[in-house]
Parts: sequence; C-alpha cells; structure tokens
Amino acid sequence: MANILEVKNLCKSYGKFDAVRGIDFSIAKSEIFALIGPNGAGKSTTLKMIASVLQPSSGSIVIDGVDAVKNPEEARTKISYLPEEAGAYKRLSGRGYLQFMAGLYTDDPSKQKEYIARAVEICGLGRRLDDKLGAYSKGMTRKVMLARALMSNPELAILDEATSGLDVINALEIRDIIKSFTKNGMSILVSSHNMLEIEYLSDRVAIIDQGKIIETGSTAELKKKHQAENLEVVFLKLKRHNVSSRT
Amino acid sequence: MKKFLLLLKKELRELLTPQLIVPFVIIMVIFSVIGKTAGKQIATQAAVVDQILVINHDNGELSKIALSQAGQVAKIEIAETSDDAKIVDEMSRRSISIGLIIPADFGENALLDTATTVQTYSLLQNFSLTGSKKTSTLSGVVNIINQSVSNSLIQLNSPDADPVKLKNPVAAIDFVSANGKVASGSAITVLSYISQQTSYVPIVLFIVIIFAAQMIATAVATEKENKTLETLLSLPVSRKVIVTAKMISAGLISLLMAGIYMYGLRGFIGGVTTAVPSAASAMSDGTSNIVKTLNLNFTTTGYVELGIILFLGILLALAIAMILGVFSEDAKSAQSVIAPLMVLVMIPYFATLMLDIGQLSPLLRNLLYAIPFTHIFLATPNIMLGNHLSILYGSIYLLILFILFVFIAAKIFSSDLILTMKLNFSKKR
Repeated sequence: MANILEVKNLCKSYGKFDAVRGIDFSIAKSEIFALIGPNGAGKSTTLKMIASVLQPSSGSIVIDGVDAVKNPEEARTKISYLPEEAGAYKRLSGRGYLQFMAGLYTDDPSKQKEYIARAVEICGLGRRLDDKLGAYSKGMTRKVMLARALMSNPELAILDEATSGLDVINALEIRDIIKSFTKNGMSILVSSHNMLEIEYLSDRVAIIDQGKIIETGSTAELKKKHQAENLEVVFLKLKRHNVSSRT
Repeated sequence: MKKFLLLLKKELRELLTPQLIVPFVIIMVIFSVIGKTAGKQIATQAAVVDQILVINHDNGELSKIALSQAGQVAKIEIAETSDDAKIVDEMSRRSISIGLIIPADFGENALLDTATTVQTYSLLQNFSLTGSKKTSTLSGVVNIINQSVSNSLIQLNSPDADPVKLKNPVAAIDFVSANGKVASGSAITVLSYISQQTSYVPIVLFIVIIFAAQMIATAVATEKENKTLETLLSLPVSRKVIVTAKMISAGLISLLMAGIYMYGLRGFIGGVTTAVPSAASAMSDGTSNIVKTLNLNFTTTGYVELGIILFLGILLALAIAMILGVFSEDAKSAQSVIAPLMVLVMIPYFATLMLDIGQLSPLLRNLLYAIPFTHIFLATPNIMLGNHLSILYGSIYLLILFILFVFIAAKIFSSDLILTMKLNFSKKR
C-alpha cells in the first residue's frame, strides 16, 4: 500500500539554530503515527512544515503523491492541520465557524453540508454550538477545532498536542474521536509529549529529540526492544544513550 | 471567488465590531450637534452690536461728527471717568471689551494738518472667534474716525469736492486667469470659493488613509494575537486571496469610518464657521460663474481622476500597513508599528496645506514628490488647474509602488516571515 506521507531528510534552521536536523519517516494509509518527544524537540516545527505553514530549509515532503514543498497549495487540499494553540474567531458562533471553514474547504454546497454534519457530530455540543466561540470553555473550543480539522475527511490529519490543556474526560473523548476516524481511511499524524496518551492512540511512534528522530517503531516493538514498561521509560533510556554516545 | 467572498465577509465581521462603530458614531453625532448648537450661539453673539467705551477730551465738531459716524459699527458709550488711567477699570466694570480715548487737541491738530493720535484699548477676556470680532470692531471705529476727519477736512478746504472721489481717484477692475481662460472678478473671492469647496478633500484623504492603515495592521496582528493565523495558513486557500480579502475589507471599513467622520466634522465646522460673517466666505452666484468660466470646477472627469488616485493611494497604504502589521504580535502594538506610514502621510498633508510646492528648492520638491502620498494631496489643485499629466504621472507612480509592496506582502504571507517576523528590541544574551 502506498504511503500517504513520505518525509525525507527534513531540516529547518532559524539562523544558526537547527530546529529540525534531518528527519525521515513515512505514514501509511489509515495509520495513526505519533511524533513524541520533550518540549523543544522539534515536533511542532516538523508538523508545521508538513502542514506547509513553515517552509523547510531542506528535504522533501510528499503527501499522497504531491510534493508539498514545490506545490504547497495542492498539498493543503490533502491535509488538515490542528495547531497546538489554535484560536477561534470569537465573534462567530461554533456553527458559524464550522460553516465558514466548510466553505473554505469546498465550494460544493452538498459537501459543505456533509462536512458540517460530521463536525456537529464530532463536537457533541448540541445547542451550545449556536453560542459565540468567545463564550466557550477551553475544552469546548478544542472540540470545535478538532471537529474543524476532521470534518473534511482529509487524506492526512495533522494534530499537534490535540488534548493539550484539557481535563481527563475531554481528553479521553478526543482520543476516542481521533481513533475512530482511521476507520474512514484517514491517516493521522499526532504529536504529544504525553507518552501514555500516545501509547493508547498510535499504531507507530517516532521519538524525536533535539531535532532528530532517535527511534521509530510500534509501541509494542519499542517496549520489547528496550525492555521498558511504557514509552516514557523507552524515551528516558534512549535519551541517556543519546547523551552518553555524544560524550 | 467564493472563498474570497467568504474570507471578505469574515474579515468585515472581525473589523466591524460594535465596540468600534458605536462610540465612533456617537462621538460624530455629538460633534455635529455641538457644531450646530455652537453655530447658533456664535450667530447670536455675532449679531450683537459691540459697545465701545469712549473718553472724549475734545469737544469740537470734528470729534462729535466722527463719533456719530462710528456709531454705525459700534454702540458708543461715554465713560463716566475722565481719568485716562482708569479707562481699563471702567471697561472691566461695565463689561465693555474695547475702549477709545480722544485727546483734547484732536480737532485742533486735525485743522492744523498736524498728525493727531487716539488711544485704543482692548480688554482680552477670551481667545474665541467672537472675541476676535471685537478687535475688528475697534479697527473699524478707528477707520471710520479717520475717514470722517479726512472727509471733513476736504469739505472744509474744497466745499465743492467729493471727498470719496478725491481719496480714491483710481478704481480697479479685476480680472483673474486660470486654465488659459480669463474672467472678470477678484482672485480673492475665487480662492475663497475654491477653498470652501475643497478644504475637506485633503482631510478626507488623510483620514481614509490613516484609518485604512490602522485597520489592516490590526487585522493581521489580531490573527496572530488570537492564534488563528496558523490555521488560516494551512487551509486550502491561496495566500493571495487571504491578502486581498484583508486589504479590501480594511479599505471598505476605512471608507465607512471616513464617511462618518466627515459627517461629524462637516457638521461641526459648518455650524461654527458659517455663523461668523466674513467677506471672503460669501458665496455669490457671480463667484460660481467666474469659477465655471475658468474651468476651476470639478467635472465628472475630475471626480474620476480624483477617485482613481485616491483608490491607488489607499491600496498603497494598505499594502505598506500590511507589511508593517506583520511585525506586530498583537493589535495594541500594531498601532505603533504603523507610525512610519503615518509620518509618510502627514508630511505631504501639511506641506501641501501650507506651502507652494512649486516654489521649493528642487531638492525639497523632489523629496516631497518621492513620498507617494504627496501626489494624492496635490490631486485636487492639479485637477482644477488642468494639470492632468501630473495626475497621470502620480497615478502611475502609486500603481508601481502598490504592485511592488503587494508583491512583498504576498511573499511575506507565502513564507515563514508572516509567523517569525517581529520587532524585538530586547538585548540578546
């Protein structure tokens, strides 16, 4: 099966600082792939480059056969991106926001209706959807944002810290929503520094540290390989090994 | 197109907030009401005949005739005191702002062909428009006394002579020329008429450009502040469409704000100034006919030319402000970031208001012409004087700059700079 995403030797520098230093990975269709690592590892920068919000300094990104570096506009038709800190247009209602976004995803009115219906189902906010976004709680806003990211059924959904700042119940709901969407053929690229959440959610994981991927594999494979109870321990062992091999 | 309209609608909704519009409209309505109310008050005060306190030490016929004729422009009040040093006290006590002392040898000196002097006193109690009217009244009284004494002396020496003809033997017939045409009339009245018709135009241009720049810079900065920018940039919408929607929405809102502002300003200035009678401000049918003969009135072509150059100027201001807005991280700092643009607008605004650009040194003149907004503020006089080539060159210059800055803005929006560009004056550690 062809991969939905191919990333090769991806680099990003800000002046003298190398935020991403040659990343390679691929995502298959209907796969949930996670990028995990500590704060400042380069996860968000990598996701932003794939979402064509940032331009890579070098390397290639191919999304469903489209070179995202050379043809970012075409690539954006295949993806949907949920930033870590995604704000809302506070003067729009939740429903108004989803209608606005549906209109930007497609000109076809019947598809717009379909997207909005899907988004309303994902949100699960009922009548609160007609309230202004400015009146929403953080959890409600994040649900609307997630619904926006998934409503168009993209080939690849890129979700950066999808459950960031949410309470346990809301976080659980969102994880379940994310997991359910791969059944529709959607591939999902998530990032998180919450290893336990990723263990539950993802099919494969890449551990990133200081701009480089230091390990890739399924959760089970990594735990077995490094004789760890969970991904947190896997990461700590890899980090220690990384540090000692450099010294 | 549908996506553009959708974005435009969103931008308009974001900019046109009740917090922006309601206080603005209220202030402008109040402005207009105050102008009309103040105008009525000024008219009332202007209709009141000024009083002048007079100490007349001369009891001759000349001074009596002079004072009687001066009574045409002011009500003569004879002072209770004959002590010159106490005239100001009596003026203050009797609330009379202007005073006059005629010396004892007034008539005698006039008959001996010796220069004679009167003393005038002005009590400054306010600095208002109606306050200055009293000073004109005082000058009018002295002028009438002068005319009266000279007329009396002429009649004494030449009883058959007409004093008016003797003093003004030469009359002038005025002609004024513009646009290769000549018309009979005074240049002062023509200039005054044109000034009344066009004084609002530079103010409108100034306000529209400043508002437009503020709107667009705020629109960009607000996306960053509200953290909606990254989502917007990741959507399947062309960056050019995003940039265009922001620019057009800001332009439309600024035109609306300018319209409301001009309603209020026109009401205020109209209310205040038309209440004060002034020879220069009187608009007669004759003056408007002179203006038409000289082709100094605005034709349809003139309005089209003005519209085009204003449109290009606004677009240029929007493009520059958009680029500057990228430097700001929030809506508050966006206001200060567009300061350089405001300076670029203010310099030609004040320069064209106060100076004759054509008389400046070549260096200064060219520096002013290099500022693109100079051509907008010069548009009205150029149109009236038929300098269509200047309008054309100015428009081309604005268009070229607009294309350049939009290209830069589109490049910024298409790159990381839209997210990473910011002003940072903190010391690097």
